[in-house]
Amino acid sequence: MSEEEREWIITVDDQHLDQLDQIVAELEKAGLRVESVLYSIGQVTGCTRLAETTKDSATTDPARKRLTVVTGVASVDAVQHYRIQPPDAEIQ
Amino acid sequence: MARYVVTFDTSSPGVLQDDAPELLSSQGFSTETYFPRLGIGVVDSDPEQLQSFSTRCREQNRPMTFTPELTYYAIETAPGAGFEDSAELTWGLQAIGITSAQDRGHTGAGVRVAVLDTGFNADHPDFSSRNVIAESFIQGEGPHDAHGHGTHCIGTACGPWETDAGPGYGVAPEAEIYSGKVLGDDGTGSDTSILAGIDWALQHDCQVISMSLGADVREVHPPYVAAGRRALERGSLIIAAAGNNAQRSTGDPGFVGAPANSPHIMAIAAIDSDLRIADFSARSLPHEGGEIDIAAPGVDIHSSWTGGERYRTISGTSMATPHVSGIAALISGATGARGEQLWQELVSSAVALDDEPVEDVGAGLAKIPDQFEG
Repeated sequence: MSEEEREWIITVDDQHLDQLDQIVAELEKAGLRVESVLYSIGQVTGCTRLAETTKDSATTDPARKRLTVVTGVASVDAVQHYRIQPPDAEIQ
Repeated sequence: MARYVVTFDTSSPGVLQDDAPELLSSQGFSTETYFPRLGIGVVDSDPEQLQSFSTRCREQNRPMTFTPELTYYAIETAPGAGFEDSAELTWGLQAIGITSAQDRGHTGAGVRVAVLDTGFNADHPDFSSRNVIAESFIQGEGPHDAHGHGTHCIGTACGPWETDAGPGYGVAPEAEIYSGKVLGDDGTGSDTSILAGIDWALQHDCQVISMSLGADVREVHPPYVAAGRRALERGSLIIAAAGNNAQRSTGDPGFVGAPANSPHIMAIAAIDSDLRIADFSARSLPHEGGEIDIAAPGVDIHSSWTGGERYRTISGTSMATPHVSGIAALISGATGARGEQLWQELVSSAVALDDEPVEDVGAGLAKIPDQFEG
């Protein structure tokens, strides 16, 4: 993901799990740069470009709406990040 | 040779007082530990001898059953009356009842355990005979563990019962190890890498997916609801650390973070060697899925490390989680249980910890069952 992009996880609903490839194509048309298609859990990860003039939060980002309205999409969520303690920490 | 409890389940006084002890002594068993009022005796024998004795008894219309003798321990929950590492076993393995598995040869053989973490130190001497499948989901980094956390967790879940350099420290020593590097060498990761790791584990039909990671976020993160549910439907149980954001000594009980706070993912708390909740171990959140499901040893846990350091002792709900994952592997290996059913078997074989609230320890201390039904 570049600095001007936002990363998303798109969850496909149960009814459309067997149409994952078609949905990926629709998501690409809606502006998603696909990173991976996770067939076993019915999810797609990818990035959209942030609008040049505004810095919306994930919830107000217009890209999210465009992805959400694709048929078969159950939810569109901004990627969260995780961190564990450094190796010499006592509590990990 | 081992000790067995022999039972003549009848109410007939003649059988209890005369026939049964006669049968026992004619087989060469001592009747010193035969209790006529109960129709129960304890003998030294082996399974073959007992099997033929059992057949003889049935032929003579005096049926009996036999079972290995159990050892009972006083249950100590008072402070200072707890476990400690011995030369043979870490305190954690003792507390979860590893001897039950050792006596019966339940090793997790045939069970695939995915550990999604910082990778694995494939050079570790304790794993030279193990076939570890390792994959990296971190761009620009291979599957090697430069941090140590991943190797430590894999050690607890799937490490050896015996080593030439310290106590045995692994729960399921013959489980097949799938190491998915979803956290980079700097210890960071994202949903992208973690979900890719889960997907990979499902592709390999791993019965257990162990995730000693989380974010201190109260809200349920929707992708893990779907991923957890779909994993369960495919017979994979995801087991995750509750989080270390508590500081109970100052009155802060913390809260279960994501992804453990998700409804279809088990959340694991940490207890110490006195079987008390660890200072850092996060408490249940009120929403569905935010509960602590079970607790396991998570303070001063000795296990494998990386970078030429053979072992390290550290604490965390990260350490409690692979204890549960290892127990899950043993249960699945012995009974074939998977998914939701495996979750239930873990919970029902837990030992309640009466001195601790359910919000902190869930069903209690995760324990290897004495008897496996399956």
